[in-house]
Order: sequence, then C-alpha cells, then structure tokens
Amino acid sequence: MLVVDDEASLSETFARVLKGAGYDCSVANDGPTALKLLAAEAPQVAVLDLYLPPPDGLEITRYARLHHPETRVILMTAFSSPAVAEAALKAGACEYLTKPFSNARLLEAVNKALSGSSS
Amino acid sequence: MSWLSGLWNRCAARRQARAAARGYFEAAAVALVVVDEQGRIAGFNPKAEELFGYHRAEICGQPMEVLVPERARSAHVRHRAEFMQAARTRPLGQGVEQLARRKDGSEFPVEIGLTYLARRQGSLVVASVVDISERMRIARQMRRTEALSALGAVAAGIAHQLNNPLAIIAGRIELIMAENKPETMQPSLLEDLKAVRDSALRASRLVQDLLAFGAQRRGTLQLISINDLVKEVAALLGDQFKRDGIRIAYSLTAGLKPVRGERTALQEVLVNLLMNARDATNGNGTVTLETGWERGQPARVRVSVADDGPGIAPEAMGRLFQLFYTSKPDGTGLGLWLCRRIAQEHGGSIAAQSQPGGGARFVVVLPAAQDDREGVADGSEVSAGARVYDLAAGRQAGGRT
Repeated sequence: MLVVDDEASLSETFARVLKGAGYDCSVANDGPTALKLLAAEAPQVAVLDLYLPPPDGLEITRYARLHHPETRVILMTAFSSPAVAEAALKAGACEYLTKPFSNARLLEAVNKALSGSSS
Repeated sequence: MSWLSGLWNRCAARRQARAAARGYFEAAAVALVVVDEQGRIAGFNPKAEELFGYHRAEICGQPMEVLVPERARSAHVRHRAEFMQAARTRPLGQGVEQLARRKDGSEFPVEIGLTYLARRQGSLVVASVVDISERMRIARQMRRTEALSALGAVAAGIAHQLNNPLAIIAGRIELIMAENKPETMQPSLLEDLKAVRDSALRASRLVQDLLAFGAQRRGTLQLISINDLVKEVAALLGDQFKRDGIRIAYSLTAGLKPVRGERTALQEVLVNLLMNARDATNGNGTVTLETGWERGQPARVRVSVADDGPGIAPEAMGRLFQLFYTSKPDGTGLGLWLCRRIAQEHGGSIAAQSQPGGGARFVVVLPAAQDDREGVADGSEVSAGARVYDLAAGRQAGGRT
C-alpha cells in the first residue's frame, strides 16, 4: 500500500490503520516522493490526497494509470462534490473518499480496490 | 387644375403620415404616454393600457399625476413645470427612475424617457415608460449573491483549513479504540473517546456544508437534460445507498425540455435532497426520483425526490428552508437553504410536501429553456412516464410512482 497526504499526521494515521489490518504500507507526503515509491514498490493500492502541491492527486492518478496500471488508486478529497467525484473517476481512480472518513470506510475501500485488481 | 391635384396630393401625404405615426404609436413595444402643456394626458398607447391598467378612454384628459403615487404628486407637478420651461428630449436610460401607480393603486418602479414635440397648436411631451421591477429584482438578487459569495469564500477558506485537523482527530481516536481492547479501557474513557470522535465527525459535516455554501460558481450555463442529471447523481450515490440498504427508484418522464443552468449547482441540489431522503428512511426504504412537466406557462419542468420515511413534522414545515434551521440532531441547517438558493438562482423554486406517516417529497421546479436549439437530447432510455424503475437493476419494478 502507499498512502500520500501532505498532512504528515494524517498519512501516518491512515498508514497505521492499514498496517493494523495487516498490510505493508509506505507513506509519502508529497507528489515527487509518491511517484518514486510508485515506481520502486509497485503497490497494489495507492491512497492519494487530491489536493497536493504539484503534481496533485489527479495528476499522479493519471500517471499511475499509464505507467503502473497494476496499482489501483483511491483518491481522498477534502470536499465532496459531484464535479470532484467525476474528475476523480475520470482520471482513473477506482474509488474516492471524502475526508474525514472512518477507518472502517478506508479499509472497505481498500478491500474493494483489491478485489477489483484481482478480478 | 394642377394646383388642385397638388393640394390633394399634399393632403393625402399628410393623411398617410398621420396614419403611419398612429400605427407606430399603437404598435410601440414600450408604453407611451402623451402629455400636453397643461399636464393632461393626450395619448395612451396599448402598452401603456397594459402597464397601468387604464383604458385610454378613461385616462385621456386626466392630469398625468394620476399615474404617480399620491405622496409624490405635488413634487411631480413642480418638476413638470420646470421641464416645460426648458423642455428637451431626455432619452431612456438617461432618465430618472421613479415610482408609478397603476389603476388598482399598486406601485412599481419605472424608467422614463421624454421626447419633446414643439407644435403651433401647443407642445406635447411623449413619455416612454418602462417597468423596471424585474431589472431591480435581478440587481437586488445580484447584490445579495455577491455578498453571500464573499461570505461563502471566507467560510470555505476556514472550512478547508479545519478539515484535516478534524480528520486527524477522528482517525486517531478510532485508532486508539481499535488498538486497545475495550475491556482493558475504563468505560468512562471509552465514552469520552466516542464523544470526541462523534463531535469531530459532526464538525466535519458542518465543514462539508460550509464548503458547499462557499463553492464559487463559475456561472457557466448549459442546456441540461433533467433526466440525465437525475441519472448522473443517482449513479454517483448508488453504491453508498446500496451499502445503506436503500433502494433508489425512479420515474422519469421522457421528452422533457432541457433547462438552462449550471450543472454542478443543480447536481448539488439533488445530492442534498437525496442525502436528506436517505437520512429520513433511516437505512431501510425507497427513495424515488421523479421528473415531469409542471403545469402552467411558461413551460417548466419538475424534479422531485420522495422518501418513505416518517414525513416532516408540521412545526418544521414552514422553516425547512431557513438558514441554520435543522430538524436533524447532527444537521447544520445549510443544505436545504442552499438548495433553495440554487433553485432561485435558476429562476425556479423548491417546495416540501409531507403526509404524516407517508413520507416526504421535495419538488424542484425549473423553467424549461426557451431556446433549446443547441439540442440537448433527452437521454432517457426510460420511455414512459410514471413508471418506477429499479436503478441498480435497470428493470421495471412495482411500487410507488
């Protein structure tokens, strides 16, 4: 798993939730580090914040779809709106989550992404 | 006899010119009131009859001040006298804005342009009168929208900054609760943690509503098929509703005219109404999305969201759309207010209907686009109106319409 959020405390929270559920998890707090980890670790699932300093979550999602199609992307947004959801899904995300969400919701989204990638 | 035929021709030409002038006067698209030097009404065209509610037969010969509110009449007489002393043409748009009075006593704002006609048999003033009620209403609405926009931008800025800290609070509390066995924790500590987590989640809902409140509308208008809009939003929320055990049914009328509007804003309205309906059904029920024509002219279309929850309490009915009014323990009182604002910005309206024990229905009515030549096809593959479809399964189902 890869968790990317520029708010370190938040990415750490999500990583702990995922590790607690038994997943290996890396953390990045900016776009360039996220791109390096995508290439180096080819995670099954990347959980990305939409609003990052460039490259933002949408750009990383598009990049991942092209160069790492095996990685399923979950986008996190601070603001839920139909336009944001549409942009996330168009960019290639398999799921989007509106912050804050429960830890159970995060795990549910990851499980759903994993079942999608295995099918 | 050539002088006689010349005179005849000149008279005929004058008659034709007078007839043409009368024709222009009668056919003018603006209300024209002709006033003589004494301030009496000497002419009143059909548009003026329509605007003021007087027939020309009853108004001609009367002082023109009958068309002015009583409290302004003496001042108007003075202004008229001053104008006649130094008469000049004053085009519409440079004229004064003032109040006029209809036959029934109602008042309305007008803009007046004046044309001065000097004649040997007495000068005339032709007043062009334009009802500017609608223009002023729009201007008022724009001022209000601008003020709300500025307020919204500030609210959204603060809300955005609050979002991550709230997510951290809620997430860490959940981690503490997950990483420690409940039986090893003091019951009061567990209660405290739950209270903090629930408060953080409640605050985050307020943040979401504030962000929606402050969303900067780009104002890009497009022709939108209301049926397509319903399906977009239903598809967006479908998974979530399925998880919550709620069925979405829809009853779409085919062949509806599109509306001209801002897609994101109208989606926002439907999302809000659907989420409210979801809360009302309390995790077990059906939410029905319906579209159709609304009676009356000009053409209007309707989209409604109905739930089979407990309905709306009578005491809440009149206050549902007030800012910060909420009947939900964790509501913010912004959602329905925002829905109404968006509906009104589109020239439409929203209303709530409730039957005790029979669910609630929210109806949004929007004007159909007058000119739909851009040709938004009604993308509905549901061909008949008033049939209920199971959205998830894509098949016709029984039940409510």
